[in-house]
Amino acid sequence: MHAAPVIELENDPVPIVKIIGAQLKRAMTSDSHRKIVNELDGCFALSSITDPQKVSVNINKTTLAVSRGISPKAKVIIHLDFNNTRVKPRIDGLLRHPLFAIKVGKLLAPPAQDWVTEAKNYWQAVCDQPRVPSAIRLISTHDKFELVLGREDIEPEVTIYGKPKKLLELVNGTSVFVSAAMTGAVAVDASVEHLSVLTEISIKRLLGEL
Amino acid sequence: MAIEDLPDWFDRHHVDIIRTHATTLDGPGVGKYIHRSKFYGSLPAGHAIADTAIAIDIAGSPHLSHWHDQRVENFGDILVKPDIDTLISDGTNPALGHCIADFTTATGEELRLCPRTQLKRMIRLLSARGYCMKAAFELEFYLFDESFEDIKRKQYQQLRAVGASEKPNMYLLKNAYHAAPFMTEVIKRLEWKGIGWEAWNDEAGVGQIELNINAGDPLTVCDNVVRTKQVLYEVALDMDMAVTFMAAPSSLFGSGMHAHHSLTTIEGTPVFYDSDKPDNRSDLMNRWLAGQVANLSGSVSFLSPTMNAYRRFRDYTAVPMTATWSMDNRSTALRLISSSKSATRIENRIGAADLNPYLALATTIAAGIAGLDNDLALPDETKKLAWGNAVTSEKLPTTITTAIEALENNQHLPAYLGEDFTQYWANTRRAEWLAFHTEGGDPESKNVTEWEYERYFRLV
Repeated sequence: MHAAPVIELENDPVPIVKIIGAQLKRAMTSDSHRKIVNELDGCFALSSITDPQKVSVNINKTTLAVSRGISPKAKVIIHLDFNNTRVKPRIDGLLRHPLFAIKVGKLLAPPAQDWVTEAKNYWQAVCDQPRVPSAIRLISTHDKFELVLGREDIEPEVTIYGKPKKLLELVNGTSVFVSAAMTGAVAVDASVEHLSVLTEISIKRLLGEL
Repeated sequence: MAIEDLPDWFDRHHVDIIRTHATTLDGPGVGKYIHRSKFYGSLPAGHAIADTAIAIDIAGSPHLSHWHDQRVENFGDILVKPDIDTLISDGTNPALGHCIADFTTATGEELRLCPRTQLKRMIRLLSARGYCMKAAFELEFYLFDESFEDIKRKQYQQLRAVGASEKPNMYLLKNAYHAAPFMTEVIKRLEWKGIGWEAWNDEAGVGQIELNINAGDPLTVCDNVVRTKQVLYEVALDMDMAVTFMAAPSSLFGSGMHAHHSLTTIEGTPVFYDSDKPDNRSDLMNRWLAGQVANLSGSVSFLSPTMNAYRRFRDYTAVPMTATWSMDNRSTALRLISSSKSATRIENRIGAADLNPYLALATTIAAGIAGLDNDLALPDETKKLAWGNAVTSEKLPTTITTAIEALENNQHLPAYLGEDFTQYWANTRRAEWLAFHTEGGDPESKNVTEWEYERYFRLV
C-alpha cells in the first residue's frame, strides 16, 4: 500500500480547480495511482481548448496542490476539451519531459470502475440528501441489466436509461445530471423536482463537495 | 383603489391595456400586456404565468440545479397578482396602463421566492416592532450614444459614452449637457407616471450618470426603482442610445445603487435622532446600526448579485471594502448622516447597480431587526479612511463565492428572510458562478469579459 497524498486546493477555488481536485481524490482511492504520485515531482497544467479554464497541479510526492491558471513551473501542459473526452488532447512539453508526461497521463486516467459498484457507492453518499427520491432505477441499455437504488418495495420515482459508461459517469461524479439528460447521454423518467435535486447532487459531486 | 372602481378608472384614463410588472430574483421585470377586461376579470387573484417566470436566471435558463418547496412540478402555473394600488397610466402610450405585481402560488398563497413579497414580509416584521422605514436609492448607470445593437456588433469595445470629457470627472455641467436630451425625456416619462425625482448629475465615470428618486416607504421606493429602470431602457431604445446598469461595465468606475434609510414610529415620528446623545444618534439608532454592521458581510450576496458586481470591489474606488461605519465618511460601508431630526439616516454604500432593490431593502430591514432583537455590540466608528491594507476591520467578501459563504454562515439573515429562501438564493448565486467559469468567463481577465457583457449589459 502506498501513502495517500494530501490534496490541497487554492483559496476560494474556481470550479475547474475543485473538479480536478475531486478527480484526483477519486484517483487516490487506487493504490496504483497513489504509487504514481509517490514517484512524481513536478508541475503539470490542463488548459481548455473551448473556454478560458486552466488549472495547474503541483506534485511533490506527498502533496498535490491544485490552483487556477497555468503555473510557470508547469513542465507539461495538456490542451483538452474538458467536456468531450473523445477529442484528442495536445501536449506541450512531451518531448522534453516524456516520462513525466506519461505518468501524468496515467494519473489522470480514472481507476477501473464498474457502474454497478459505483452506483451503490453513489447511493450511500447521497441517499440522506434533502428531497432525494426514495428509489432510483438504473437500466443499462447495453444488456438491459437493472439496478434499483433505495427502497425496493415501491415503484422507483426516477428511472435512468443509458450505456454503462454514461451511467458510470453519472454516478461517479464526472457528469452533470441535467446536461447528461439534455444531450441524450442518458434518458430519464423523472419529475422536474427530482431532475433538479439530482442535478444539484451531481454538481456537488463533480466539485468534490459530496 | 377598490377593484369595483377599476372600470371607471380605465374609462377616465382611456386605458385599454395593462402591463403587469413583477420582479424576478435577479431583478428583471416580467409580466404580460393584458386587455382591461381580462385584467379586471382575473382580480383579485391575478393572471397565470409559468413557474419558470420566477425560477429562471438572467440568461433565460430555468433553475434546474436546485429546488424549492413552492416551485410547481413540471413547469406548471403560478400567478402574477397585481397590486392595484400601483396602477398608473403610461403617459406616452395613451391606451396603456402599468401595474406592479407579486408572484403567488397557483392557489394565491404568498410565494417566498418573490422578492417583493420578501420585502413585504420584512416590512410586516418591522411594523410588528412599532416602526416604519423610509428609504431612497441612488441610481448610477452608464449612457452611450449608440444603440444596443451597434454596441453588440462592436462586441462592447470602444463605446461612445455620452459626455464632453474623455477622462473620469464629476458633476461636470458640460458632460451633463450632453446627456440632457436623454434625461429630459426620462424625467418627462417619470413625471407622467407619478415617480418623483430629486436630482441627476454627471458621475465619476465617463458617461456615468446618477439619478436620485424621491424617498418614501420601502415598497413604493422599490416599485419606483424598477419602473425607472424600465423607463431608462425604453427611452434609450426610442432614442437609438444604450443604457446599462452593469455594476462594472469597464475597469474604471463601477456603478452602485446606494441605499439610504431611516426609521420612524408608525405615526411617522423619526426615531434615529436624539440631540442629547453623542453625534445626535438615538440609542435605538445605535442598536439598529449594530445589526446593520453585524450583517454587512452576510448581506453582500444580495447587494452584489452578479459576477460582474465583484469587479467593483477595489480599494480607493469609492466602494467599501470593510464592515465599517462612520459619520459622513464615504470610505466605510455605512455612512451616517445626522444633521437634523428629519434627515438623519444611514447610507449603505455596498450596493451594486445591478442589485434587486426589493431584496436589498428586505435584507437591510432583516439586519436592522437583528439589532433590535439581539444585544449586539456596535464596533467603534472608523474615523479614518477605511481603504488600504493597514485597515484592521473585518473585510467584506469580494467574490461571489465568499459572499455566499458569508450569507450561509450568517446567524441572523436566514432566520428572518427564511432558511429556505436564503438557501435557494445561495444556490442561484452558485449557478451564476458556475456559469461564468464553465461558459466562457475568464477569471484571470483584468478586463470585463464578453460573457459578462452578453449576460448583463442589457438585462440587469
